[in-house]
Amino acid sequence: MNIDRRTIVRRVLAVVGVLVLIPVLALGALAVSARVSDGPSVVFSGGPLVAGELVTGPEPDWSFARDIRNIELQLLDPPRSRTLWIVEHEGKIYLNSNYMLGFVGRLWKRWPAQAERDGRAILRIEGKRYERTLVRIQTGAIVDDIAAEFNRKYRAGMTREEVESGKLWLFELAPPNANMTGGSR
Amino acid sequence: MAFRAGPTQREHDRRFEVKWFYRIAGVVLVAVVLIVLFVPGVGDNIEGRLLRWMAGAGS
Repeated sequence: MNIDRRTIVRRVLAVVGVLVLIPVLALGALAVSARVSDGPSVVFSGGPLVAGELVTGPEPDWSFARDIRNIELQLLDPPRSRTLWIVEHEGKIYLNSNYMLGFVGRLWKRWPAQAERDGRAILRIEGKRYERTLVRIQTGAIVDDIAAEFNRKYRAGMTREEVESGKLWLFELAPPNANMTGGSR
Repeated sequence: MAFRAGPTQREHDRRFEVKWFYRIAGVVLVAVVLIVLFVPGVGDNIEGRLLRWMAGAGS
């Protein structure tokens, strides 16, 4: 059988195309699957947090969050959820988001900007849901204390300079409040 | 004439091969999606690798 060079190139390109499509489809399937789930996967954002008792009433004692490694957070707008770290400091709880200045970070993490616009959120810890308002913290002495707690708990290597430069965004998970719709301080 | 010969036959063979290539490729790609979605652990494994890559690229 006569096979010319053009045919060989065409076949190689077709095989390469399929090999490229395999990881693309695999990741696409995972992303779509997570998007319609109750909660996120490790990498991909998930759908709204539906399951779990919605805790209302007085502010909980958040000290139990010291032993929690990951939490699920859903913004109300857009209603998507993701897995995040959490620390507790002096009765308040905080989240962070790293890599905010790099290309991958901008591509990967859009929720911090969304949270800054509209901070209304639902937090799910150990199967219980809590209404919260995300408030970005950009400076202040408290950043040192929160960074120290992140470093103790996760060995995150977090510094105040990273927060102040915008490389790392820090949020307080404040109580739900009609007067607060996201923002920063 | 029962059999084609020369360029006509070669074109027929090529189209047959192309058709089979696309069929097999389609089956492979559908299988990938189904395996990722329904075989336990595969999705977690892929996400773990992706997370490590993203953390490396982002730092």
